[in-house]
Amino acid sequence: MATGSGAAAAAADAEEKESGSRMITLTSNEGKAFVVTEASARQSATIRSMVDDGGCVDKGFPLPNVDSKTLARVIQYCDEHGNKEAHTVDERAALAKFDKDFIAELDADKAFLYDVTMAANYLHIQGLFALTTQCIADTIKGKTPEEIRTAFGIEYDLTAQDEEEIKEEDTHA
Amino acid sequence: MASPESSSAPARHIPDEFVEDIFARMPARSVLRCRCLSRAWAAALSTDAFVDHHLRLANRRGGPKLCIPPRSASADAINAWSPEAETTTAPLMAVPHGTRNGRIIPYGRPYRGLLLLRAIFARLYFVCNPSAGEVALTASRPPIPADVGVPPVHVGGKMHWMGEQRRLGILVFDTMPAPPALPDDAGGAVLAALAGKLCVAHSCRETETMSIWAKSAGDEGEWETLHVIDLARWPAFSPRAAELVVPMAVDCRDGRVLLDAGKALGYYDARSTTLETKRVAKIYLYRRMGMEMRDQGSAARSRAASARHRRSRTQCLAPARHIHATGAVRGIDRSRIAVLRDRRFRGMVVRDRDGST
Repeated sequence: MATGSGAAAAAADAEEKESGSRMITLTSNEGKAFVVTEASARQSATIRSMVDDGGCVDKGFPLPNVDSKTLARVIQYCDEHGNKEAHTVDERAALAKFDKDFIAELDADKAFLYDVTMAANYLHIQGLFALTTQCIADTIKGKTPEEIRTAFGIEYDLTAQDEEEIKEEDTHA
Repeated sequence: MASPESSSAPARHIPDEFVEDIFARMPARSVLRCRCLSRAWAAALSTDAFVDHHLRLANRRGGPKLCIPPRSASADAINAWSPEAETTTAPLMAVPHGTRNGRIIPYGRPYRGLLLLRAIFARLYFVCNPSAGEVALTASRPPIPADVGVPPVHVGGKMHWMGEQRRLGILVFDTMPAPPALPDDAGGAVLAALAGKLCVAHSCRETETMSIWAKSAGDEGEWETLHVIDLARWPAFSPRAAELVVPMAVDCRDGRVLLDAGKALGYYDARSTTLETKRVAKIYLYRRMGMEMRDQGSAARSRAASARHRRSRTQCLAPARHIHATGAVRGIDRSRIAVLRDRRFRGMVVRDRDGST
């Protein structure tokens, strides 16, 4: 999926002559070019609107906020969801299995998971963003407030009385 | 690698910008616990926008769920029904104590996951949160239903209705334009809330189609056509056969629309234009009383609910302000109960400004 930018442009040109599936080049913040199908790129609402507005399809899309490692992983998701059909029960099950494996792998490296989440947010890839935020939510939902405070790196600024009031409200019902 | 150290740094924090997105995907009880993490979080996790976001994502894993309120004194539970379960229902919570001696009816329309129940003979009102299995006796009689027998007046862009209990006040509503394409004929037009958007569904008897429009963003947004469904292919759902077809919910996993035709429910898939019929025993008994509700995704839920119910009996029921919308996130006050109460209107009424005095 990753090629040099010269080859990428050539590949994109060749593909564009084909009717139907154009190729689109995405460039990471390190200048590395990734050539993907239009269907794959359209998973990103950000790129979709740029393509539909008749934007710079030929020039490709520089993504200054995304590094190569993250972009490669994001494209892996987009390829699976953009290039495959999801009409039948079997096809949907296959995609669900892909998602499960995909997120299990990401979950092992939290910092990378956060990078992918940020990229999904920046590129507006709804499915991927839902997948990663759900994964983070599942990780922290069983944790104590103290552990969550550490995970988000937040300062404790409530007085004992504030906390008492909030807890008091929560235990009712 | 752009940031090789990022993978190895153990102290990397979850970025702040996702806090709400992440918490919107957590069980209500975890959200509640996390409100005491900091001042900023307590505020952020209590806003209306967050409550709505949380509610919209509630059933992302198992598709829509409808809550079936009790309809008689003999009913002992509030049940949930989902399209996957078809003819079986799952108990959510026990009917509030003190209502067994007479008829118990839902009072008004559900609002933000909360349901108002009225025990007629006991003259009691309960706010229930079926998702969390919580119930509270309202401290006082819910404020004013509007007196629909008296014509409302329109002053300064707002509709004014006399309250049934006059000394309690006058109800004031905003008005908004209906979808421009909505015909002014006798066909059934209903309001629905689908995926957090205000929708209007119109069934045309002549063409046997249902059109659904959605308000794009907030009160100022434009109406856009969401679906035009050719119901002639499914006789049970045709506007000629069914008295009223109501879109109940949207499955947030794949966008399918759950249609209630009174005696049958169906899942409409716009991509393949198919309708999968779901039959439910006695659904006509509680049709259109259903509300979309939160899934807590826990097998222990009904057990926990009954435990809570027992506790609420012994504690003489907590005051209403402690019941939490969407299973957790906020208290309830009189004006909110007024909203619950007033949602029964079928007009183009969108929000109240002065529900209580």
